[in-house]
Amino acid sequence: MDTNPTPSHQGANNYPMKFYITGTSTGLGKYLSEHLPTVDSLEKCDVFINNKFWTDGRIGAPTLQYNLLRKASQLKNVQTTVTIGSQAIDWCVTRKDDYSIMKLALTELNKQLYYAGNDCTIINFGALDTEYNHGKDIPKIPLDECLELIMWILDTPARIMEISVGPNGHS
Amino acid sequence: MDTNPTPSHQGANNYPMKFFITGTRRGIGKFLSNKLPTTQDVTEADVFINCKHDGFEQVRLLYEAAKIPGIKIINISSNSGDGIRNKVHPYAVEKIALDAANEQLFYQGVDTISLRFGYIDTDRVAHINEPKMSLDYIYEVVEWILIQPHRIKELTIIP
Repeated sequence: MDTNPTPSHQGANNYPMKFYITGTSTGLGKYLSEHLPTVDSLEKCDVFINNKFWTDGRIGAPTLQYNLLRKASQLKNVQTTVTIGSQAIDWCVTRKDDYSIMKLALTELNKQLYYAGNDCTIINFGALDTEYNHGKDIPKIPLDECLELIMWILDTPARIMEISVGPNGHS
Repeated sequence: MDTNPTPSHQGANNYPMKFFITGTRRGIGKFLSNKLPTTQDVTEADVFINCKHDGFEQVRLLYEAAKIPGIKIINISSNSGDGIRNKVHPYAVEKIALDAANEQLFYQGVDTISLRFGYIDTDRVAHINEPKMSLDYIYEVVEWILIQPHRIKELTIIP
């Protein structure tokens, strides 16, 4: 059982799987697309990185991530899906925002698909070190460490449903 | 706390950390205690592996351990709570309580994780004919957690 994934310094671009990544113009999606071998559609990939949070603004409408997670679960070519969630789900009772609720719905969909046998993981990150968080005086997770985590998820022999990672210090 | 322990291939007993592990008479606790350098005094431990299930005792021990400055806590939990509506199952409720306490303390800044495992190849579930994770694999997951640069709140993993 190989639990030693290819370290990023050896080049994740040599990874034998093809990745479809959403949200590649900025942030984590951009970083991952620069370090992983990508294809341009969900139908061509082995691994789907479900990264881009997008909503059309209608209350109650599914997010892009929600729709694509469900679609990916129905495609035979998609062996593994890694969805980028958020630790905001732990605060949806005390916050008045739609974001945390939408991410919670995503987490529950992932759980449903996982127990139906899909190899799908949701990573609920705390703050990442992206342009979006520049200037904010909070602990952040570097993007290279996000990549390392994703590679471990892909290489570990068991299926991982959910992992919640916060930066060091208070989240 | 040093978050860069000696890699496993150099021998886990060379870890610069001391571990306090509950439930060492059998199962996961026994396996881990044979692999890791242990102490019998939790106040001397760098890492507390909260393994033994005994009602809500894991919750109480978690709260107690969280008072120790700098300690890392690894709670051996279960994914059984995900099926809580399927049958009357106190074990699942007790593990959910553990996960909830873990979440509460995590957001207070404690370095604590709930490892929500599916079936593991131990005597306790020998009669269950389902895929199981090996104890060696569980050990590798624990090792991986120890070297992570950031706190992980929970990890759910099944075979």
